[in-house]
Amino acid sequence: MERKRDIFIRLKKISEVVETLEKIKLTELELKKLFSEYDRLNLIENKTFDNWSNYLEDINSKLDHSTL
Amino acid sequence: MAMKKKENFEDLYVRLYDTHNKRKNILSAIKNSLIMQEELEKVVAVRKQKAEVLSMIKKKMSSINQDYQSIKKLLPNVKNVISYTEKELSSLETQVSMLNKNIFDEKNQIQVDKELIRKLNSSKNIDSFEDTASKNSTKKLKKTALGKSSSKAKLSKLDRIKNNLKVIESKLNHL
Repeated sequence: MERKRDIFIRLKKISEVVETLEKIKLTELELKKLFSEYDRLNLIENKTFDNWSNYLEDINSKLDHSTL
Repeated sequence: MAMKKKENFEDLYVRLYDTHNKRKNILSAIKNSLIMQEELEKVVAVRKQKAEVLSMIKKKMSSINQDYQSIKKLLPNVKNVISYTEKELSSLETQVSMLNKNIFDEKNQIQVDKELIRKLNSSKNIDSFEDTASKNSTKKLKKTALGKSSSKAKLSKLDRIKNNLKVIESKLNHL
């Protein structure tokens, strides 16, 4: 039966690693917010565009009805 | 004359039926077109905002990539660590087992030597009751001396082996 052994890796400049990891965490949070904002704007654009196309259809139908 | 004029003008005029609805449709169409124009302006503004957000996202992504690269440099290459340490451990273990075997052999040898010394001492005592042959006694003394010196040498070698074993075990514990 093999004895389980723990393997340890020595980290030099651990303070720098911690600092960089914290920076990465903050940047990731900001990115998440930006992506959600982009999604929100995308939804608004799609809705507005749908509205625009509905009005266009409405105009076309009204002009078709008003035949002389 | 008046009738003729009327007939001429009738060519230019178009008779409208249901004028109320027609007027209503035309006006609502104009209103809808104005609304459409506003909606289009909204779409253009939203697209502008989207472009700004996208440029921000690109900047943040590039900065985060740089941070990941810097972390990669700071952290060691973990891919081969396990295999390397396992190799080292196995080699140290073989060394330890060899040293243990050597110690065991040395202990056996020491015991054998002790037995021999005891026998020699006992034989030396028997000889002292027999003839007074000085050559035999000196030979035996030399033998005992040799035996003692060999045991001393063996002991020191054993100590050295034990010390080496302790060093290797400490290295294993540190790993």
